[in-house]
Amino acid sequence: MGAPVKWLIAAVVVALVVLPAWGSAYVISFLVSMLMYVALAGSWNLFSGMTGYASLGQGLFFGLGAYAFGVSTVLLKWHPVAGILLAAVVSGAGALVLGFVLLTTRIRVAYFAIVMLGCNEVIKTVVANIKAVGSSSGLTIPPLSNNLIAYYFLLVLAVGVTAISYVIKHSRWGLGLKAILADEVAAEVTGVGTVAHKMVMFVLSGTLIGLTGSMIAWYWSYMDPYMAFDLALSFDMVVMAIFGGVGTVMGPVLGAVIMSAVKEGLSTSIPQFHTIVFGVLVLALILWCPGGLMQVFKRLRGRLTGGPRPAAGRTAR
Amino acid sequence: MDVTTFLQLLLFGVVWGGLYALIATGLNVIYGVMKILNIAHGELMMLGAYMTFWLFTLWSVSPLISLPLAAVAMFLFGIVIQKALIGPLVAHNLSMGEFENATLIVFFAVLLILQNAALLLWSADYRVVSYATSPVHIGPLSVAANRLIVVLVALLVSALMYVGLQYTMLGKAIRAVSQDMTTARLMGVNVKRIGLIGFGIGSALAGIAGNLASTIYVITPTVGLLFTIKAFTVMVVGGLGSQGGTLLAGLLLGILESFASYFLGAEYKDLSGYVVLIAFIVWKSRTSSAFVGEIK
Repeated sequence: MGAPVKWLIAAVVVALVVLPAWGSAYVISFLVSMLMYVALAGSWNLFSGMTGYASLGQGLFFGLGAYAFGVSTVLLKWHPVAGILLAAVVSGAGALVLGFVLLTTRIRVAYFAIVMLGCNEVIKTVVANIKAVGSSSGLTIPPLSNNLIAYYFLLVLAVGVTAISYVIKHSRWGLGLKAILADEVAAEVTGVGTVAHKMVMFVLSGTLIGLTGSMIAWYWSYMDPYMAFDLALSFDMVVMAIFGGVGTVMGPVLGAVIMSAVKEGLSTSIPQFHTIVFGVLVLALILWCPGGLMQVFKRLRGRLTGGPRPAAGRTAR
Repeated sequence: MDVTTFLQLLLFGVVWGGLYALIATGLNVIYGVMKILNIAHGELMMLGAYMTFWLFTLWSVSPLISLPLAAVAMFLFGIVIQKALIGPLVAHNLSMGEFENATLIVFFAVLLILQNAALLLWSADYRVVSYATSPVHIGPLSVAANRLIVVLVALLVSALMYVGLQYTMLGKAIRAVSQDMTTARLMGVNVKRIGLIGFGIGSALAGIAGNLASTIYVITPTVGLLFTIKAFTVMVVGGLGSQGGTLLAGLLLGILESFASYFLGAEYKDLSGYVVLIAFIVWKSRTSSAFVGEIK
């Protein structure tokens, strides 16, 4: 990362910190959802992007976090801060258990993807049939006193996730992950603790997604199993991360920012066609540059500086 | 539970199972020749179902006549999708993992586009094709005629697929490409052409399944994903590339769902399939190295 890029990132973060002083309620609500997507896509990328095990049901930890928060604050009358901490513990523990079942042995990527989706649906159905947690009619949570709480929490989370992924990417641990991504058997025999690497990243990803879920549940002030375990959420984070550039640090951030902006823009300007246009845009970008936006930038920079153009098909990893 | 109820549940299960097997056979051919997990497979089925519905509603075309039409239409549609979307991706010369990621998002976009186009064109209303609903009595059992037609056609098409894949040159080429693309190419198989035709055949099967499903199930623009997941379950449990296994797994899933919704309640019908899928994958991944396979 060059110095200008670092300054640009710092400027954006500072702008986001001071922005609420001027931003309208609409701007804040848009930014809350954008920051949520940055945190989710970044967290998805921490495990799936860095190891190659694409999960189609990572939103299940969002639901676990949301429900841990809802149940502890509404039914058990805990303090919200304790509820958020519990959400982290519950989603992390959930990831630990699932990780022990799925990741301590090798598993085909396509199978892992669908099993995660299946787990999301199973837990959704189970939660929807538990009367104690409101079954399918859900829970009503006392609303936030100020939406800026959600805004700053998610800002810290989004920046945190990105920083974590930067640090991991540039560490020995990150090299291990890179080896797993390239060839897991080869990584294993050269001494990379593949199970430990996968487990730690999976639990980290699950915990961060659970934290996001707890704050969003509070922000929504109402949730039911179909919102908390919505498959669209699981899919959105995957699409955003791949759109931006899977496995890179800034890719998921760019993907989440641009896609949530495009989504918002399209849904207000052409409400009827917005999902179709959105789908076409995604198709066009991936067919042109399978490595996502990061690959587009790399190509543009190559052209601008007149340097050698990266060979087609090489991603910006 | 008396014997009649048991047989009735079994019969209902077999009807749905035959349909699942048919969708899974299509998914299996596509996965085999292209190594693509087509997450939009159920959307092709949805298109076949709407085609049947409109032909039936507007010009009262019998679903049995629109069946070959749906098959041909979806075959062509599949070819177009393959040409337009997979072709450019293959040209990028990606690694296996990159290709999987790219196809996942490409077909997710296809799913979004088709689903919302259907929503826009035909609204979210529940559509039903009321065709051959009069009951047929088999001994103590009574079953709507359309269900019998569904299971018979599904089994017939599955049998044709089996014969086609086992004994024709095209079928042998498809199996060869599915098993080992490189070796198939060395043996003179036109891998590119087989990929195209295989995708077309898989899509045609989805169209047929949609045609059949439209007579026994409500059609909505969002009906696809559920069927994609069921087909995936059947494909994995039945074994990649195994027609007999796919048929058996399809029937078993149908029967399991039928009994689960009777004994546990309708809300657990889909859940039972997911539980089987998860348990099977976890169990096989831990016991069979072939199941984990070379593809990471």
